[in-house]
Amino acid sequence: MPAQIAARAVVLALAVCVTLTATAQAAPSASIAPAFLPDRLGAKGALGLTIRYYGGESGVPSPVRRSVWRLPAGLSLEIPDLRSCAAAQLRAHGASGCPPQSQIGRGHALAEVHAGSQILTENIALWAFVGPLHNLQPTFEILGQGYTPFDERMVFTGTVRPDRAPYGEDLVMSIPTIPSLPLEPDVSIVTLSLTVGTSKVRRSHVANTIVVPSHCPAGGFRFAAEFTYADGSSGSALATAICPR
Amino acid sequence: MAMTPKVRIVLAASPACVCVIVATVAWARGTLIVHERFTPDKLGASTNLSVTGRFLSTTGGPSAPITKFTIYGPAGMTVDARDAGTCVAAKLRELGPNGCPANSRAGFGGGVGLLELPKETIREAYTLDFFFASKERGRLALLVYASAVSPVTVELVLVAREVRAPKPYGLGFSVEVPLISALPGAPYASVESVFATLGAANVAYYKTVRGKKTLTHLKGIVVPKTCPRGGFPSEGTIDFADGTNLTVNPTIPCPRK
Amino acid sequence: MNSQTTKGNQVPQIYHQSCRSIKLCCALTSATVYFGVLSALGPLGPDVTRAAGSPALPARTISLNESGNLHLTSRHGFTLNEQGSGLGTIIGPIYVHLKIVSTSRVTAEVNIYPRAGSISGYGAAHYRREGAVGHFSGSLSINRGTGIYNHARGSGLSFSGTIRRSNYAVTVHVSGRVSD
Repeated sequence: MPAQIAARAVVLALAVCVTLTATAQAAPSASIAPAFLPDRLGAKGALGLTIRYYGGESGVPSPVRRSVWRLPAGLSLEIPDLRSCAAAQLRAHGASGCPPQSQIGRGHALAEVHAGSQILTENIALWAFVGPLHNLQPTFEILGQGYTPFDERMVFTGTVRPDRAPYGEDLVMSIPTIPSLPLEPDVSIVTLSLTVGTSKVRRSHVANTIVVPSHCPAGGFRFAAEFTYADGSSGSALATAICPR
Repeated sequence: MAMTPKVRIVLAASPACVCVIVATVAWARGTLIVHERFTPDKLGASTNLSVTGRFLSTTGGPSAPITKFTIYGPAGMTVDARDAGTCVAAKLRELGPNGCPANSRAGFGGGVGLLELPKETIREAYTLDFFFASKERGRLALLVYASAVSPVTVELVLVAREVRAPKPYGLGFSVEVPLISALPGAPYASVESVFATLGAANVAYYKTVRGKKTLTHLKGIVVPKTCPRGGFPSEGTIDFADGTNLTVNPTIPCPRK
Repeated sequence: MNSQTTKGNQVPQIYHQSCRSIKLCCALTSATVYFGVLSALGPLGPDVTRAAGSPALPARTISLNESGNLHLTSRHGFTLNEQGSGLGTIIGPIYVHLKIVSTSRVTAEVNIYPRAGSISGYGAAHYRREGAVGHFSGSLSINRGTGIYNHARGSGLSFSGTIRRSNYAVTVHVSGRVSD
């Protein structure tokens, strides 16, 4: 009996330790990293946005359902020839189904899902397109295409709304559920990197570009993001792009 | 001692389970509830076959450990493993799932196991990873990696072999399960629930064809081209360590037109 | 011959003088009809400039000053189809097809339908967003007319307005000189 009691105590102690560790790691969190290209006031170019998600009991963060990017005041998107592409078109035909002038960005993401004992990872190519008008603002359609191990395509929509200083506008994105396999968890995006606009090297006079604000506030350009996760939790992240020299 | 269980078929009413028939089997120790479905459920199309099973005990204790499990799928259901890789059992034992090529993955699953201690029963989650193995005498074989981490570490590699199925069934698989001794002096571990999804719908891998990297889609499990009246019949038989066995006959409804 | 400036719906006294020649009589009659039509447009008749020593059918220049409050009737892509009433120099329904061409530019086709004809024009403007309202400002050309505006032409007219984000309601203002 003492041996059984000792064995039981060891088992329970292990269970408590593992449970505590899992709880500490479970809450999802994120970090963001913005970058202007070129990094010059008033320049026409591109804005790179990178997000990393952390946490999750199984090592995979909970999927994001909604993200709000708060962008610095004075930042604008210049689209010389407005063409749009509908989400239905993207779902049916992929990036080639849209007018080239409607594309405003490219990027990539890394997706993960815990299936069986493994964490499956998948690289996803991203494209951003101008979507239909909403409240006088163009919306954005983000196309994600993964090929292996799952040949899947997804589209999610972003809308723009005004914000208060020091931010100018918010980019609000609703991210749909990305199923993996029946009975297995949904897929989570672990990192996402998107470049909106065109950097100087490849720019032509009709290119869609980001316009860097002409004035930089003290402390730099402030970016913020708020995330809502599938597990019901939420979080935020802040970043500052230092003023160009 | 073999027992003849009562079989009761219950139609699931939830719209989310419209393609599922629940099979419930009662035996001396309790009840086994089984769900099966094809996703997507389209005749002749590549699909994923999902199975869930849950033991509900009426004696207050867990069911006896499982020693063998045999499943017969509906006639006309095929497994197309062309372009899939294969895994070797020794590699899987040595390195775990990382020892198998990614394109040999055949499915995933898991469940809850039970460890019976004198004054309590510990429930422990486990996972299942399925891989294609090399055919044995022309017959399909799957490797099953069963793994549990806490509170007791368990790692098992099982082999599910294709078996001939009697009519009205088609493809069958049988796997023998060793007794799992989790703790010294404690009874062997048993299963409270299990779930598994096998198939390759939307699964694709890059393959070099004539020097060019080409995205190749696996077919995996394919839904039969015709559906008999009443749905696709299937059968599962479980052998327990106490000599009893259990047979359940879930039927998957025909796809809606 | 005495000439009088026409006010309101008064018939000019010119009708009561005897015609010394048919040509002069016809010219005077035409001028009278013109004045009468312009008077019929509303209480605020247009300013009419007549060149000194001009021929029997002089080229007329109208100072156009038109405003409209329009509501969205339909939308296709980035084109807003708007309808409202024109107030100002010409009174009548206004239809505007406003296209957001880029994030900083709009173009518009403006059609006004007073009683005696129609006037159509094409404009382009710089566009910017300020909070809940988009503002545009640029120029417009009158390139087509029907009825009594059959020969209406003009370029470089001021073209400006706003677009409300919440319901796409548009205000538009056109001003400048139009020749007929």
